[in-house]
Amino acid sequence: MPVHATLQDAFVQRADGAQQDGAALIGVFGEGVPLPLVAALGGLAVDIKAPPLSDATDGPHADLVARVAEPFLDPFTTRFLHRFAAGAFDRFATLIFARDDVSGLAAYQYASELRRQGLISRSGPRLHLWNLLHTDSAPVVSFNRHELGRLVAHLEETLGTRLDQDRLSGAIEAEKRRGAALEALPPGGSDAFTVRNAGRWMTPAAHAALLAPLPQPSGPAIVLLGTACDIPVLHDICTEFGQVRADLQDYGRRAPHPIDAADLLREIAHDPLSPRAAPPSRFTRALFDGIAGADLVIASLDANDDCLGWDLPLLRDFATARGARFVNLGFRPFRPDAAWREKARAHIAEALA
Amino acid sequence: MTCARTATAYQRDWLKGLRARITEGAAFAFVNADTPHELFHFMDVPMVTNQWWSAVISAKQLAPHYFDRMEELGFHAHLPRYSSLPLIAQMEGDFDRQPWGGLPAPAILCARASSDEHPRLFQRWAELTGAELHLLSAPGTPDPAPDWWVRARTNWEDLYGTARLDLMVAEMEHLIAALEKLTGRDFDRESFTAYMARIDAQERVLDEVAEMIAGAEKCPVGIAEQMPNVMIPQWHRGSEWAVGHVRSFRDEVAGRIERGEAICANERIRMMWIGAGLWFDTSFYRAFEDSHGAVFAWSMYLPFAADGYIRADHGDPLRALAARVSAMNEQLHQPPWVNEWLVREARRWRIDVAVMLVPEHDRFSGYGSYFAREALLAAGVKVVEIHSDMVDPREWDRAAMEAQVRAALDELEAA
Repeated sequence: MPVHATLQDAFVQRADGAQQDGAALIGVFGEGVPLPLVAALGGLAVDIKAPPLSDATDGPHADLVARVAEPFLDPFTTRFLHRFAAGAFDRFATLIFARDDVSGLAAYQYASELRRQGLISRSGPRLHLWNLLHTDSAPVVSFNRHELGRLVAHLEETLGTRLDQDRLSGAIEAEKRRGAALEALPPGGSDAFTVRNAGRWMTPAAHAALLAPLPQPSGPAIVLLGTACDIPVLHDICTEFGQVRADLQDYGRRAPHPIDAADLLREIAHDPLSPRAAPPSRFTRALFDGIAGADLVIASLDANDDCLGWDLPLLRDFATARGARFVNLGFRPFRPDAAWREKARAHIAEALA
Repeated sequence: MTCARTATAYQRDWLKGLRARITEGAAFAFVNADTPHELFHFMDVPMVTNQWWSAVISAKQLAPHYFDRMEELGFHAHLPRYSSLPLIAQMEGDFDRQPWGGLPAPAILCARASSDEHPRLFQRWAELTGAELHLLSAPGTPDPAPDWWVRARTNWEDLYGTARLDLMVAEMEHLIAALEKLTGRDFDRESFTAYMARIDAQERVLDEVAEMIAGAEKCPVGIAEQMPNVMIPQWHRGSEWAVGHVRSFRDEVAGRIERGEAICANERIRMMWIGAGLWFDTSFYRAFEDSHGAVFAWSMYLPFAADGYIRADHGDPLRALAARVSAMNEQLHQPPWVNEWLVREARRWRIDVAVMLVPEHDRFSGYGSYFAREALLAAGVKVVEIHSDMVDPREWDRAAMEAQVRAALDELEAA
């Protein structure tokens, strides 16, 4: 069954194609923002980290960004900054940056500084740093509550609305219904990846309504490890080798969402697959759990990775000790070309031979 | 410089003493540079700083071996290096190869989650040694005031934010409890106030020294000698030795200025070195004195002793310590803090040329580099970018780097 055209369009056009339908657009950079809160206050949360697919060929280039963006800046950040400078988010009311996202803090700081220096118009969207910390000590719970208060105040001021508990509960239920529909999808495969991520640029209700069953793939169980990857490049490649049973990379999985209006942050703050989960052993354990039972583990990282690389030797040893094959594809370009894909395919074929 | 030799000798003796204490069973802490060292010192827990130890390993020219080993172990080649060098040395376990016989297993570990790698590196340390790990949270500052150094000394509550400070204080209290348990001693808050006051006095002396050198007609002390005189007392801040040493340093600098002594009699160009030290090749700092009368007068270590450390206690020294720590590293690497501070410093020190180390692997230390470059250029400072690493010499081409700087100096002299 082909991917629904609306979902396909949403996935391709991303923030550029987001339909406001009366709601103010609220940009979200990184995982961990309580999206039902945005919806309850009258906003449509839209991912702004992943650029439209066309950005790879005809995305904007701003010299003023090129002058301040070091070559080792995360590519999601760099592309965001070029698009920000070009006014891609001018119709947005505010942009919220998750500090615990690998590239979120730099994106916020660089965008803020470009604006502070007057290099970028001050008339665009507001910018907000979402400082949620991924642990559960009492001081952090208190700090996170403070940050939630700051976010609520920011959204209320931006949107001119007040938080209503009934609307919040309704938004959480809508997110749960979307979650249930997504649960029915296979965990891997290009189509599943596409339709799941399309929801980042739609309301939960519209998204859930368009989700339809997809065939369950079969074959050796493959688990993908790595840094954020917003395109199904590895899912495509893996189709001929088996089933992607888990994609533990950002965009490859559905990060936790609030399930309780009385405690919006618990599920998010406890996400063990947040790279900043603390203590950090939680993250490592979650990765171990994620690859347990795999026939093949495939790792590929952005060249600017500071994080997952410290776990790779442990993960390799863990996987191989359990009889799984482990393939490290090395650094994955932001938009891999045919040569990289072919090389990756060859590595995987060799591992499974 | 007499003081520099004294400091280096003190540190060497201190490490020998540390090893002796550990051999006798004393527990020690292994910590990152941007953590509250004050708590360890005050509780008399011997402490080794990760970045200092990394610099020592690098200065002994051992880094290439360890970074090759790092890749053999399966870590990828683009991972940060400055903070990981000691971990790799520890993982290899050949202590005879390491400076001074290496480090035994620490009892306690402490890092701030100021960058993505630090929690992971210290987790690996914990797994390797069984030491108790304390990670301090590092939420971002939503509205970083550009003139942080003006506000930080007294108005730090507004600058860093009450919620962030509350969090840091609470996490430090947890660390204090662990240190009490480790040492079997209570944390004496009254004495801690006096101890913090001694640190304040120490940093104020260094503030005087910075002002003296910045204003001197010719630079009396280059950065190669500033660094040990600042950083070794900094690792022992608040101790009788540290306070006494920085006073001696100040007096020696004052004497030099009074006598008209300069490290380069023919000084024509003042330079600043931006970034961490080039620990494997510190002679680079003096390579341009004979040819161009160009002196490295400024590195961050001396001026940051004042701007990064002096925090009025307002009757709550633990909170003042939280203010010192809560954005310590960020002020040196994140816009707008780093660019605004460097421009202010360049003006204060009459800098003509900035040589900027851009560490491509230690990205947290590299972020903000280009904002700083652009700001310095706009302020009329010539900027030379050196893409290299503070501890890894494998891609360091001394001749090429010298040529790059010389070309800029030639251009400046020709203008």
